[in-house]
Amino acid sequence: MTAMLMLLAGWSLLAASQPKQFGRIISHGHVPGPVRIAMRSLGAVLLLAALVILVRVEGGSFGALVWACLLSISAIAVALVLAWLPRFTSRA
Amino acid sequence: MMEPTFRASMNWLHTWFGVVLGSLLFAIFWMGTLSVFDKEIDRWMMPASRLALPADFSYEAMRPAYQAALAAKSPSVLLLVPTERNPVITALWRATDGSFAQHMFDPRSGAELPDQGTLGASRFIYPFHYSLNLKVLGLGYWIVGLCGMVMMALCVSGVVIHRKIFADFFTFRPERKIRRATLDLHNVAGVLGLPFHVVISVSGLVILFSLYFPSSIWAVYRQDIRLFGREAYGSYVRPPAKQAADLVSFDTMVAKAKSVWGQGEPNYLYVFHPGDAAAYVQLNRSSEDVVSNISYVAYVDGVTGNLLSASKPEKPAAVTQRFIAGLHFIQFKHWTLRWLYFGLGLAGCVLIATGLLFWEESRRERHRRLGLAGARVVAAVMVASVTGIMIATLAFMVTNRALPPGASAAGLERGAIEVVVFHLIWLLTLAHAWAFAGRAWISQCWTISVLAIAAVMLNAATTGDHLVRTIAHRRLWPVAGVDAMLVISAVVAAWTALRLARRGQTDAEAGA
Amino acid sequence: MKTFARTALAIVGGYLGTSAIIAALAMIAVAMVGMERSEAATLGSMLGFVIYLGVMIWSFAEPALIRVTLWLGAVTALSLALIFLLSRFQA
Repeated sequence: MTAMLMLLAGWSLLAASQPKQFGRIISHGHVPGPVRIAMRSLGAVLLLAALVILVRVEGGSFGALVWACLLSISAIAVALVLAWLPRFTSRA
Repeated sequence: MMEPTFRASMNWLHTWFGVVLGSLLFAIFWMGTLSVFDKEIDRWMMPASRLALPADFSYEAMRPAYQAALAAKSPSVLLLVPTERNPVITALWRATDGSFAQHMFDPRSGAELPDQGTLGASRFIYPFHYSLNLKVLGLGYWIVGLCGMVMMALCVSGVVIHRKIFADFFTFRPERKIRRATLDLHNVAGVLGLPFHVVISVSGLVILFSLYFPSSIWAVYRQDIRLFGREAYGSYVRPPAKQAADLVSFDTMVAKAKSVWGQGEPNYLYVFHPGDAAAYVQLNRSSEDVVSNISYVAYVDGVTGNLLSASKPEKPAAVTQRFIAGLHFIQFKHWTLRWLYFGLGLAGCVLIATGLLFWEESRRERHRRLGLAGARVVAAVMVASVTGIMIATLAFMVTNRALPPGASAAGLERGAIEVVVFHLIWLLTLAHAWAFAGRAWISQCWTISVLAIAAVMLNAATTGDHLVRTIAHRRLWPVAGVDAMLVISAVVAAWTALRLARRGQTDAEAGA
Repeated sequence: MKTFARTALAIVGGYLGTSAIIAALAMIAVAMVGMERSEAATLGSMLGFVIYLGVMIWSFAEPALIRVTLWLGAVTALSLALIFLLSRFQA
């Protein structure tokens, strides 16, 4: 259960980030306005959904605390993946 | 230093407070991160304590420990109830010469375990984190306190001076020049981990609120200051009767406490006036099922087992303080959360280390041009602060496995030898970094790698609990965890050394 | 050496000033709001960390060192005066 939520939080941060980082993944890509808004909205929703699920599973304080920690850890994970992604995609 | 703008003044604050206290901050965060798993490291360093917690633990098994304290004529004895992470009965008492004694007892038989001759993580690494083990005048506490405040100031100023905080949210470009990459990583670790860095700093300070900001307590209580403990925490006191008496059954006392608590188990029994007719016992309910470090205490008469008093903080300020403290102490039973804290702690270490490295890289050119002699010392201090303390910690663990039990040298007990080795090696890393300025980072990374593997091998050699065995037995999982972390550290350190060497090569080829 | 003076003022002066402020606040809470002693003491102490952080940041942000000195001194003096007055009326 918690693993799925981690993916939720992480993936959503990835989605929210793509507007700016798009250029690194798809070389010189440009995100059109409406798509960017949709991505960011979806990302935010996923982040909040993760919180809701965690609170329901773990209870109020533990749920919120796990969410807060996961938020940071998954964000860092996304940043690290993005850092090394060009190295993989450039080979394609 | 009269900076014209807010941002400029925050830049000055961030740079100078970071540089001056960065080494201390790293030490505090490093030891703190390790303390997340202090009990697991204890199992690794004290092989006789690698026991399984009996499912049918009887509190009466704590009697031999109590009797040992009684024999030592201690005015009180703190008995820690065994838990999954700490599967031994721990007894702390004061000997007649005033010194503290800590002994471990088997949770099933109650028999005393052989002296492990080490302070372990809980008595060296953990106290280093909150007091730098500097006991003189409580100086260590105050230095750490200042570091905590400065850490918060660094977080605030860091956010202020960060130019494109949202646009650069995920930006980390390791392929760029080392200065840019280091700053990127510093920003990522800082911004993405910001809630943790701020909360961990303030919560650590709030734990010791009565030490750091006692003025409000003094002002409100004045001469009745001893009432603070009673009014805030319901502490109970009564003098000894100076008549001998036996202590009632431990199970009786625990049952009485549990009848007050409803559900829950005690995590410690604190016996006051052992062997006396007026003996009383403070039982504290374990708070491992909540975030808060709340204490629900029951006081029980030592001879009859009758309830004397019970209380838990229920008023808002006290409850809040316990909750905030709980966020830092993390004594709750939640493995996912424990690992998350460990990861975030490492992020904090990366934050501080990259901060120091970025400053060093930025000034390298200027320092080289000016030919400042001090620059070499500063660079050496930075190396010793980061890889140096890691090497010292590993040396501490290696020594623990390498020394035979009961070893002593130059009047020092085994535990003291380990501590001396830690500090000596730390000093040596400083000297090494000064002497071999160019290759210091790389050599020390390799040293970390070698020492970490040595630790794993020594553990296997001296205890027979190698990784295959420790993974197979649940009671040995703490040891497996520590060994696994050591192996991962060795790999990361080696990879870092190789990358630094390669970058040094390409920089040299590019004529940098 | 203005830097040294400012740093000393921020760290030491800020700490003492904050201590005075929270002592006064705690006494006011007990005397005027009727808060329990242990609560006021604990709350004041916890607020101390937040106030001290603010004082530290401001001590470095405020360009004129003299203004830092005067304001810190004034607030500390006011707090001490309040403490003195309230202690007279307390017991």
